[in-house]
Amino acid sequence: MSNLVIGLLGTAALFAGILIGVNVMVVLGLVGALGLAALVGFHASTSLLSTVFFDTTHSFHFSVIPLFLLMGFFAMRAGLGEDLFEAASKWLGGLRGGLAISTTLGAAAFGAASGSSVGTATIFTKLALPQMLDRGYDKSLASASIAIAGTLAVMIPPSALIVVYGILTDSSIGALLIAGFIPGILFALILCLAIWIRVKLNPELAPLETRTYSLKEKVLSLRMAGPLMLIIVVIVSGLYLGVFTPTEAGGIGAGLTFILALIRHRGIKGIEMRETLLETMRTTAMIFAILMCALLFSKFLALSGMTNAVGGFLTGLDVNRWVIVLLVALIYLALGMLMDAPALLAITLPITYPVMMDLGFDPIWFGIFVVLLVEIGAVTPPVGINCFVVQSASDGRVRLEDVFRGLLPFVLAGFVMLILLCVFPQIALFLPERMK
Amino acid sequence: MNLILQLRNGFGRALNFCGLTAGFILLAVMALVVANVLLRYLFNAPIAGTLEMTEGALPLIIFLSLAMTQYEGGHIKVVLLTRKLSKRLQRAAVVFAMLVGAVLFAWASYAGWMSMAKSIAIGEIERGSIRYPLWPVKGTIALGMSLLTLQFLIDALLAALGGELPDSEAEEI
Repeated sequence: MSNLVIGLLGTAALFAGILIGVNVMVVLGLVGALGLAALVGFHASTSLLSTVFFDTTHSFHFSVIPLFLLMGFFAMRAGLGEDLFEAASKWLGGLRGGLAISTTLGAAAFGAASGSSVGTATIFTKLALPQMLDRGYDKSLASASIAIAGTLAVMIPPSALIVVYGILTDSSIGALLIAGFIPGILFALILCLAIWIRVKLNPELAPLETRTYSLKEKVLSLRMAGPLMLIIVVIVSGLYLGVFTPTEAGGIGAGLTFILALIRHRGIKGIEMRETLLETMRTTAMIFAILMCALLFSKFLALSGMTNAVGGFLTGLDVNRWVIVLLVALIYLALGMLMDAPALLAITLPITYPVMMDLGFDPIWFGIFVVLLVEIGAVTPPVGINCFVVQSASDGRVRLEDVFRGLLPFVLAGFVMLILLCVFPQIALFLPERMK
Repeated sequence: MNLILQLRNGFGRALNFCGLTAGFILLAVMALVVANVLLRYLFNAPIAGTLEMTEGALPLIIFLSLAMTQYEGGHIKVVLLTRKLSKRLQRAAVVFAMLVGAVLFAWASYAGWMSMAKSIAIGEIERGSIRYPLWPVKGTIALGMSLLTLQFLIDALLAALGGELPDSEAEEI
């Protein structure tokens, strides 16, 4: 059997295993290890198994993931979502579709700290959905704006998913984190614009808010939201100026949100430390299990010659490189409907990343592009995890169809964002290229 | 059936303890990293060995919580297609999935214990501004993977006997 055939069989086994419901990390790891055993022998494969697992986890830089996750869980315990939504709705509630716009911006800021798309969607469903529905907002508009706003969490730094991309492709984690900043904010603004246009075209979707707030009330609403924004600014500027490394940024972020949680609960009791730590550990283990197994699998693919063969085939096609970008985008959108973001990145990057590099794309740019794609996949049916989350957190006030129906304009906004990224790669690259 | 459920719960408590230990190690890492940054900028006196200690702590954090995550059903899987199968086939698929998991991690545990033995034999140490032997780190990795193997076997047995496994929606990122 030629190496390439082993590679093909391995890839087929990978998809078969995933489809019959075996844990993604197990399939990646076992196919990788068995494949390597077929290529280089049982002994070498066994020793690779321990080296890859050890090398992936024995790392200062990768410690950024649990620290970012810890920061996110502290931010949730500190109830910062409520503060951000309250502040945003007091400042922007008077606009047309103001509550939906406040939700988007509040979720963007909270998501930045939490880095969790699903977590952000859950919290804002509890906070913002009842308020919007009580004021007579359209169910589809209200629920879909929350589902899509959750995805902003993974663009704006700090974001664990972007670090996952960095580890899988061996790219600079600091540069990637900084690169997500402008696209994340731009995407938030595009989403706000989409809401505004929709409500402008059909004012019945969202009644105008008549209640107004005094300047004093507005400023007061910033007492907890303000510090959180400050933490994010500290992290982003600290990374940009090279004051600290991503791991240190994670430590500082986790430490500061911990202090905010302490202030909110006037002590450590209300934070439920035990649950917070266990949740952080579960997510950490889940991500790293996928990461180390994926790295083993990608070693196998590379050694079998599959990576080169597919890359050679695609780059050898006599077409414009943007046709291949389109193809890659379609693959991600299709697979993004089937599985969760970290697993999707782990399975696909061993093939797509080398191809994109061969075609001369920037690794940092591709990271932002792919993360945005995966996130659009996270709101599209049939899997559309964020939509399920919104529906199940709504206590039966919206149906799944409502969410999906409302999403179309936002998915279109996502495509606009993707096109902008392709036409103006500088949106992602401007900051990292000027980093110290 | 009851016996295996009791066994699973008891084992789960031990795994929770491991996970909590990992959580406290992470808190310690957080404190260390922050203290190092503060001391470096305020007093120009960084803590020697911050990098090495953080590096050594991450494997402990991950591998101590690996089995707990399986216990809670938190590792990512795709259930879209198997949901449509008959109950019997669904159960067969779950048993298969758990056994496959046990095979991979039994193999990886074997590799891990070998690697620890080798580490002891050659006296491998972490090199940097502080030094410490690496075998406890490698031993914890092997231990964590062995615990995960056991958890997969328990879950395979439970599923084969017709028990339900937890399927918590993993906290997504």
